[in-house]
Amino acid sequence: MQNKNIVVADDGKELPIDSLAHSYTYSGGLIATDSVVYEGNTYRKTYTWSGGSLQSETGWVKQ
Amino acid sequence: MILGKFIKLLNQCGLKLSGTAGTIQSLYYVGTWASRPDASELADGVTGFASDIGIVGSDIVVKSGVWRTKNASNNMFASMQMYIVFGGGSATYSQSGTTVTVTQTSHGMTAEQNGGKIYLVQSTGTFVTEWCTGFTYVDANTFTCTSATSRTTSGNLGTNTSETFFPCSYQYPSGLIAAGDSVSIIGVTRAKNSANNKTYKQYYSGSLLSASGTNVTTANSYGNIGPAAQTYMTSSKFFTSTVGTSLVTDSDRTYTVSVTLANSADWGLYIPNAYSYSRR
Repeated sequence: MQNKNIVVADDGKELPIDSLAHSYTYSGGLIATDSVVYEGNTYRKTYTWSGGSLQSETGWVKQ
Repeated sequence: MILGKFIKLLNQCGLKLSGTAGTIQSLYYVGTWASRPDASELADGVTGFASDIGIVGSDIVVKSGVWRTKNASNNMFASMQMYIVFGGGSATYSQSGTTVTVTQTSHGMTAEQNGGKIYLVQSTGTFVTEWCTGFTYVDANTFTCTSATSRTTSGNLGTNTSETFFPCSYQYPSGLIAAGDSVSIIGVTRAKNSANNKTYKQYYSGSLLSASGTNVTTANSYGNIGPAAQTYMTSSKFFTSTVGTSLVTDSDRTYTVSVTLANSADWGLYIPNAYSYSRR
């Protein structure tokens, strides 16, 4: 059986996150958002930085 | 029998036991730092080898219930990847497939920078701001690089005079740093030859290490930058070269580096050279 990394989005949808194509946006050289499309919906994770260090990241939020 | 199974189990874990006399005194561990065995019940002098500490790994030894590096200092990292923050002023681009062709009059870069990663900011067209790979010098006014996303588009690049971090942060392993130890960073810079400031800043654990405005370069020449070492007074509190009212609390053991271009006609290059660790 193949192991799949499943994450749960804020709408309860289980996302096979490793098998989805990711698109990134950058701000100040750092990753600002990570987005995937699953079953026609876009899910996005947002990162917060301070002094170049990662402070927090959100869960996967349906857009 | 039980001892035999124990030794077999140790071997499976990358451990070699070469003598027993009641306590484990001659254990030899080979593996990553993170997978090292619990040292709390090991005698002082038990040794091992952490394959991911330093460039070629490091001998480690148990002292007072914790693993410590045998060497007094280790160079933790030496990837010589080149990173370029591009100001983007009056620059245009076209993208076909993943190849991005950028045009800017007298951009000032050379073929020495081939293979570097370059940060391009989008203004018009459907290109999306990103760290492109594979910088390739074409001529004095043109270079190419590779986007992570295939598309066909063209437009103007955006200007970038904001503080921009290089994607080469380094986090020291958990459990490595103890009171009295020091860490330090050094890297290579080069920037467009212009009178405008290109201000490099280094941070450790989110704290700016030197006064704002230092590490400024205006010359198109290679130079080394590195602030004074960060020395730990406890296992979690360190001081920087800037005198403050209290020690800095370590949050993530991570070095980061940024550059701010005063003028969008410029660019700034950085090569991380070494993240050093010095044991007390």
